[in-house]
Amino acid sequence: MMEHPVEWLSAYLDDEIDEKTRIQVRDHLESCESCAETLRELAEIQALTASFYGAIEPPPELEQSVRQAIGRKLPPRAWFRSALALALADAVCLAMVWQLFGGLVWILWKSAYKISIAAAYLVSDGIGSSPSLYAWAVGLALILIFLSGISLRRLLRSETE
Amino acid sequence: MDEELHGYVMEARRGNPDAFTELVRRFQGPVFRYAYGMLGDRQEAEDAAQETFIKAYRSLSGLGSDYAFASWIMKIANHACVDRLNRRKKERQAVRDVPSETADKTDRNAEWRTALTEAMESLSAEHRQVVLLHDVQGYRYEEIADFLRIPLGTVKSRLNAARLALRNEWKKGEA
Ligand SMILES: [Zn+2]
Repeated sequence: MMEHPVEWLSAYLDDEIDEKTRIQVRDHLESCESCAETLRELAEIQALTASFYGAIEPPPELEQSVRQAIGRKLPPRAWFRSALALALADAVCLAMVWQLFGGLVWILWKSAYKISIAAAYLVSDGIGSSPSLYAWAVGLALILIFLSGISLRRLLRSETE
Repeated sequence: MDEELHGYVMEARRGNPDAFTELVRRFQGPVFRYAYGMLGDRQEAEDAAQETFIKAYRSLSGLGSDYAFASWIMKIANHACVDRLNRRKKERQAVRDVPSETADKTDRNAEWRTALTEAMESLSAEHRQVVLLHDVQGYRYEEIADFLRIPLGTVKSRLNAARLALRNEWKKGEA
C-alpha cells in the first residue's frame, strides 16, 4: 500500500494525474479514512472558492472609465504601423510597375513630353490672347488633381479593409 | 476562441476604440475577478482592472497572435496585481499593517465569505495565483505552467500546497 499520498490529492481531485498513480491513490483512499477526509475537505474548499469568486461581478462603471481613459484617440503605434505599411506597399507597387513596364513607360514618357511641348506652343498662343481662359485651365487642372487624390485615397482605404 | 472575438481583436489592433470596448465588455469579468482574488479589495481590483485594459490598449501592437488575446490580457492583469502587491508590501513595512476589509459577520453566509477571503489573504501571492487560475478561471495545469512559466510538476505541488493551506486556515476559522 502507498504511503499517505497527500501530495497527489489535488491532482487526483482535478483529474490531472497519470492512470497508474490515479489507481494507486484510489486504492489508498478506500482504506485510509484520514486521506479520504482530507480529499473531501479539499473538494469542499475548491467548490467554495469557485462559487464565491465566480460570482464576483465587475463594477458597472469599469467599462465607462476605461473608455474615457483611452478616449477616442488611436494608439500611436498602430497609426505608425499602418502608415509605414502603406508607404511600403506603395514602394513595392511602383517597383513592380517599373520592373514590368519600365522600358515602355520610358518611351511613352519621352514621346508624351515632346508632344506636350509642341502642344504647349500651340495652346499658349491661343490662351495668351485671353487671360480668363488661362485661369479656367489652371482651375480645371487643380480640380482634376484634387478629385484624383480623393479617389486614390478611397481606393487605398477599401483595399486595406 | 470564436471568430467573432477574433474579429474584434483584429479591429482593435487597427485602432478601432469601439472594437476595444467590446473586448473590455467581454473580459472585464475574468480580469476583475482575478484582480479581486489577488488583492482582496474591490476598489484596488477596479484600479488594477482599469490599468490592465489601458495598458493592453496601448500595447495591442505587441500582441503576437490575435488568437492569444485571452491569455495575453490575463498576463497583463497578473502583472498589474503582482506590482500592486509588491508596492503594498513596501508600504506596510513603513506603516504597520493596515486592517483588511471587515465584512458584516451577522449572517451565516457573510461568515463563510469572510472566512474564505481571510484564508485567501493568508496565502502567499504565488499560492493565490494558482488557486484563482485553476478554480476560478478554469485553466488546466498545463495552461497554468505556460502562463506562469513554471514546470508542470510545480503547478501540481503548488496548487496542492495552496489548497491544504486554505483548508488549514478555514479550519482555524471554524474552531
Ligand atoms: Zn492515507
